[in-house]
Amino acid sequence: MMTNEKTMTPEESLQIIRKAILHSRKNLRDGSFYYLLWGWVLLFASILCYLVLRYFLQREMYEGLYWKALISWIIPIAIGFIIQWIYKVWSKKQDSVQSHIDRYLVYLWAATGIIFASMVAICYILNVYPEPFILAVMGLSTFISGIMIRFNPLLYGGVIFVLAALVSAFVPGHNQLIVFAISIVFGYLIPGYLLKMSKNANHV
Amino acid sequence: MFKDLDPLLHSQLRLAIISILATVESADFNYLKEQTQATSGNLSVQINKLKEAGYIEVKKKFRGNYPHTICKITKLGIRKFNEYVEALEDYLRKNV
Repeated sequence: MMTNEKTMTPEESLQIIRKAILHSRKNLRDGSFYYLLWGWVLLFASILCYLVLRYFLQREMYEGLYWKALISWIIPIAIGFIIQWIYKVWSKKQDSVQSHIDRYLVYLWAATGIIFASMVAICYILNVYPEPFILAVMGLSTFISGIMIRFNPLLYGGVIFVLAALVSAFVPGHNQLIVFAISIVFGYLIPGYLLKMSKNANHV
Repeated sequence: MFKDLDPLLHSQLRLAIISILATVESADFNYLKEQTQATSGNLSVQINKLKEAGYIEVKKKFRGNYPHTICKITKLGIRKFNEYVEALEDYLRKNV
C-alpha cells in the first residue's frame, strides 16, 4: 500500500514511474467490436447494393439507380451507427481509464468517415464508382490502426484494402462491389475476430 | 540530495498519480485507487493537492446515482513531471 510522505530514493521514484508506464501499455481497450460491427455492416451493404444494381440493370431500369444504390448503403450504415451508439453508452459505463491511443483512433476513424462521405459526393459529380477510392482510404486507416494498437493482422488488413483498391480499378462497373465485399472479409472481419480471440486469451 | 526535485511530486502517492495520468488520456478515482493501492481518504487528499497546484484537472460527474471523479493531467502537470524526470536522470547520471 502506498503511504505518502515517506522519503524516496531515486530508484524508488524510477520504480513508480516505470510501473505506471508498463501498466499503460496493457490499457489498450478491446477495439475488436468496431471492426466486427463495421465489417458486417459494410459486407451486408456491399452485397445488398450489388444485388440491387444487378436486379435493376438486368431489367434495364436505369431511372434513379444512383439513389437506389445509395439507399442500400445508407440504411445498413445508419443501423451500424445506432448499434455503435448503444455500445458506446454501455461501454462508457464500464471504462475507468481512457488511453491516448483510444482518443487518436476515434479521431482517425471520424476523419475517415468524413472522407468517405466526401468521396461518395465527389464520385457522384465525376460520375465514377467510389469503391477504389474508398478502399484506398480504408487501407490507410486500417494500416495506421494496426500500427497504433500493435496488431499485425490489422496491418495486413490495411495492405489487403490497398491491393483491393488497385484490383477494383480494373474491374468493370458494379462488379467492383464483389472485390469490396471480399476485401472486407480479409481486411476487417478476419483481423477483427483474431483481435477478439487474442484479447480473450490475454495475448495483446 | 534532492534539492532540485519538485516537493509536490517527490512523494510516493502523488508521483504515482502523476505518472499514471501522464501515460493515459484520463482515469477515474477507482482506477487510480486500484493502481496505487492507496486508501480512498489519502488518495482524495493527494488528488486535491495536485489539483490545487494546477497539475491535474478533476471533473466530478454522476454515473447513475454515484459520483464519478475523472482526473486528467494538465499541460503544467506534464511540464512538471518532465522536469522531475530530468532532475532524476541528472541525479542518477552524476551518481553512477
